[in-house]
Amino acid sequence: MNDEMSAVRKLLAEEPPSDRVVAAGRARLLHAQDGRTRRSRTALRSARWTTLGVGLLGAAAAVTMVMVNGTAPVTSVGGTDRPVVTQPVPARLSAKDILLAAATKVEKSQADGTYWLLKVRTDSQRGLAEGYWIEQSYSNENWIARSTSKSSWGITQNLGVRPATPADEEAWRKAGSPDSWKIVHKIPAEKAKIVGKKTSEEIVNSAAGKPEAWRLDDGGRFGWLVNGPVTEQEIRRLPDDPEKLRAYIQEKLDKFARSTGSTTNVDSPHLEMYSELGRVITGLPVTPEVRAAAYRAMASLPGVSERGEATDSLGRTGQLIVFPAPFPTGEYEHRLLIDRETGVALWSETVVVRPDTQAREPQRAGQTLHSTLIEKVGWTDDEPEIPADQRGPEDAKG
Amino acid sequence: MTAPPEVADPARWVDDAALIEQSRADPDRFASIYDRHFHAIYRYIAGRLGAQAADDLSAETFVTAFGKRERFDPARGAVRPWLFGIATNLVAQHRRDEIRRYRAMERVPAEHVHHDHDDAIDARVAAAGRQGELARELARLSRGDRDVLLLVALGDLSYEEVAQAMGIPFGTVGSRLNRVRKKLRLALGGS
Repeated sequence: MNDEMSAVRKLLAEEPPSDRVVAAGRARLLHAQDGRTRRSRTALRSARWTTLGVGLLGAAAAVTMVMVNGTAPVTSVGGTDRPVVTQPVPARLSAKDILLAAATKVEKSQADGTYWLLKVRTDSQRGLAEGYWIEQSYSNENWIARSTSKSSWGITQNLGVRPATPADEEAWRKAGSPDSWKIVHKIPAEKAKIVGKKTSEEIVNSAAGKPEAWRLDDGGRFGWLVNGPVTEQEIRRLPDDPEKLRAYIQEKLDKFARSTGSTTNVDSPHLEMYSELGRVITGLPVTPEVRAAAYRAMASLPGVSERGEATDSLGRTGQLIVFPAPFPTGEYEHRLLIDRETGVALWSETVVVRPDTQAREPQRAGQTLHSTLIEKVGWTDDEPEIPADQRGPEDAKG
Repeated sequence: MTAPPEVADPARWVDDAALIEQSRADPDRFASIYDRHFHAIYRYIAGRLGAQAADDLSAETFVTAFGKRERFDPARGAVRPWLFGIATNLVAQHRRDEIRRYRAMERVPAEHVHHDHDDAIDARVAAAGRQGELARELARLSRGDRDVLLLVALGDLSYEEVAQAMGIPFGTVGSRLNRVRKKLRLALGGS
């Protein structure tokens, strides 16, 4: 009966205040009681940010990420922008060596800039009951300000939906070239009992949307790890030792598994660890040391292999790391493309090898379930382009 | 509602209203109000606006309350709802940030929707999808409905306390909450 209340609580839960925050608030109250001039909210705000900013600043001073070059403007592309696997180079490195080399490179490189920027394009192919596949794309930018005098921003744009491949396009034309689609999800039997229905529907439209921006400073989102969003504090706590990082993530995974009553997939016991390390490498504004630790931890995982060189849709060539993900009712494969020169992750995807017989949406072999093209990552002096209508008066900061 | 630990020893327990009364002559007494209620206020504001805004606004709640202590009227309710009322007014000044927070939560899980390769992740995806729906619904609620909901869900206030905090009739609290809960159940895929 109280399910929805506890769901709200769970969704909105934040960590309790640190001792420093409790002490600072108390001091502020006593200060007010003293009858002295109250410090303005602005002054307090920047004082707080100075304290918080130290971590980011410290990270920034040592950060290694390099801007990835050759970023073309995002154009509408079909399902053909998969990396093309080219001939393996002679005397190629093992997956482990590639990852260890990437660790050394990201650890050593230098960077400087106003914001830590992660700009990605994500594509997901989805099966329709009509028998063809569509591809849904988003652009997402995170601009995390190093200095307290700037705001941090998230910018998302729906890049629209289109048939996934030329063959799908033909099927789509035969179906009368609809500009919106209904995706029907099967709800697994166990859950169906709980929610009281066997399917749920989702409508997607072909039209792209406008960029939407929101401030990350308050209640900011710095990325996602295991089952929840990561706070700036947590990012600063992430261990920069590969074994400790693995232990930290394992603890979170175990905790999550306990809370959902799920068990490890025996067919692929390291899969979740691989996925989470991938997130640290490609998705979080961590220090170079933590990123290097994630590469080293990944190198230590059984099951990681390499597949020569590949080129992404922006024409960037890198070394392809693959990780198999078999499970009782199907098999997927995770792919990660790493720049040979800089060690930076360029692109990642999850592909269907054997369709999941229990999948909630139609699947086919070779389908990209989800891909992330990393267009830009690292520190930059550029400024985010915030749509004028979303830069309210209270946002005119700095 | 959790009873403050001091209540175990009634002789030492000074109730909130008495503290406020004493603080009129001796401002330092107000610090006890802070110590008793800061965590609860923080939790409420952090849930609505995020931890960083809560660092600032939770402290601001007590500074504001201190400034208004002369006007606190025990006849109109207890200290706790009074503090939550002040906190709610502060949160209202940041409504855009609050909506952005929910909208961000709504988007985050998109990354995971097609990542389901085993049961654990499947459960996580389902949870993430439902959370997205929930966040979307939170962003859509009217201000009054959201205040009532979150005073109960995050602040652990009783209907009576919500009525005091918001200065609305007791019956209104119940009807608003029923309406909101129905919406949330639908968002969560129930009926």
